[in-house]
Amino acid sequence: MPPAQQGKMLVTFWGTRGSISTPGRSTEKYGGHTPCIFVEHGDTKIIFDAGTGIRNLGLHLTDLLERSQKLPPLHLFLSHTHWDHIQGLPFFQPAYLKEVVLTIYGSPMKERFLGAVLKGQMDVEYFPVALSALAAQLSIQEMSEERMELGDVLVEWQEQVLHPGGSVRYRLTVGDKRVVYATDVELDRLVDGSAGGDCRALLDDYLRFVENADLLIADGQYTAQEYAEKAGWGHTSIPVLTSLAERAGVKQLAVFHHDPQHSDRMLDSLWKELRKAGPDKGATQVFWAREGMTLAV
Amino acid sequence: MEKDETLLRINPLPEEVEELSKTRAISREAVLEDLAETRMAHLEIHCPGLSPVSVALEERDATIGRGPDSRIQLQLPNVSRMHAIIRYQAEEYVIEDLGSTNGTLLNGVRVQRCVLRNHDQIQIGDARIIFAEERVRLE
Repeated sequence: MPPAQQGKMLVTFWGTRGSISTPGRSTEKYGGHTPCIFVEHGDTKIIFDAGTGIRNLGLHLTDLLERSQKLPPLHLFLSHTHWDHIQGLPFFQPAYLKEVVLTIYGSPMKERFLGAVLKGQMDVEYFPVALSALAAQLSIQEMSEERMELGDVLVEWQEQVLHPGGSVRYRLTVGDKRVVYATDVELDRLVDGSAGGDCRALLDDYLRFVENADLLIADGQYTAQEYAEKAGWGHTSIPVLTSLAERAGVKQLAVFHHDPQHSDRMLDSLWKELRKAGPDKGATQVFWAREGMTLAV
Repeated sequence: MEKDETLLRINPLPEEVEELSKTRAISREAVLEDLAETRMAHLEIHCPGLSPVSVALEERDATIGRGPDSRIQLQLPNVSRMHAIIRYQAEEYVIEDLGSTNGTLLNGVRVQRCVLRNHDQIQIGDARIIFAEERVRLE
């Protein structure tokens, strides 16, 4: 690592696509793999979600292990267990290596135990290798405390209710730097009040959680026009996301969980429109999360 | 009369048709040889007050900086001695900042590292660099 980056969190996007993987030439710029983000801070190695992008991360980590003969423990935090967030796990090569220590964390609020859900997708009807056959030192934990420390990284989480089945958002803090991962949530319903209940309190919780984040990685799956037809599907529209990020004083917003129908050309056009509407108007720098991109925070 | 939208019309002379229609034995190796392709990439470097310069990357690593050790030397304001490197790995070009003072921007975003795609714009100091690649058939 170059000296200037020491002490920083390195955030790499291995999968940025929502819902289903979309390989092909029309998505090669922003990426076709479903969610997976890797955050490194020294020997603390954190993974958010195990979409299909985790396969390539696994190859990268295996290569590291072969070259350096060691790999620090891996901490995999799941936002939830919909297919696009867990489907890469059976193809995560480090899980097959006995020297690897892998802990998987998820919400305690589900009807079924997290381990049972992950075991289910590796049932013999779906996959030839059972979860119990993985050679890594694997443990699966439903989170109890709302914060934990991993090395110098403070990890905090909150439940998000506005997604079918729920989801969890995470915040990483090192010193005065914050990275927030908040995907698969329909913020539009909090803003327009259609979620019912105490929208105001839920919105305040969200704004407080993402407040002054140096990097917010967040679900912006739909345009405003698309959202009109997809209200209730559990995802946020780009204009609502950008305006909330601005309001919360977010420094950089990586719009994430791209819709499978959004080609590179379309995302480039949307970005151009956004810039035209208000280039660098606010304090938040907005860009599209892109597979193969690493940011230093 | 409708507009003719034809892009190309091949219409060989009758004696050539017979020759073309003869079955040719094509080996699998010959087919694969025809299919093999690579990515040719180059950088188009725009510096203030100078004409743009193009440099081919040739599937090799290329360091960019102000110092004499860099393969691409940009003696311009706000460029560090060893500013960035473009690596060729796994058949892709990846740019990585080498701890520069002013950072490496890709399409306006400061990145530590990023896989490059066609027409990406890299900002290194006062230089604006456009990455361009094309797929070409291996000879």
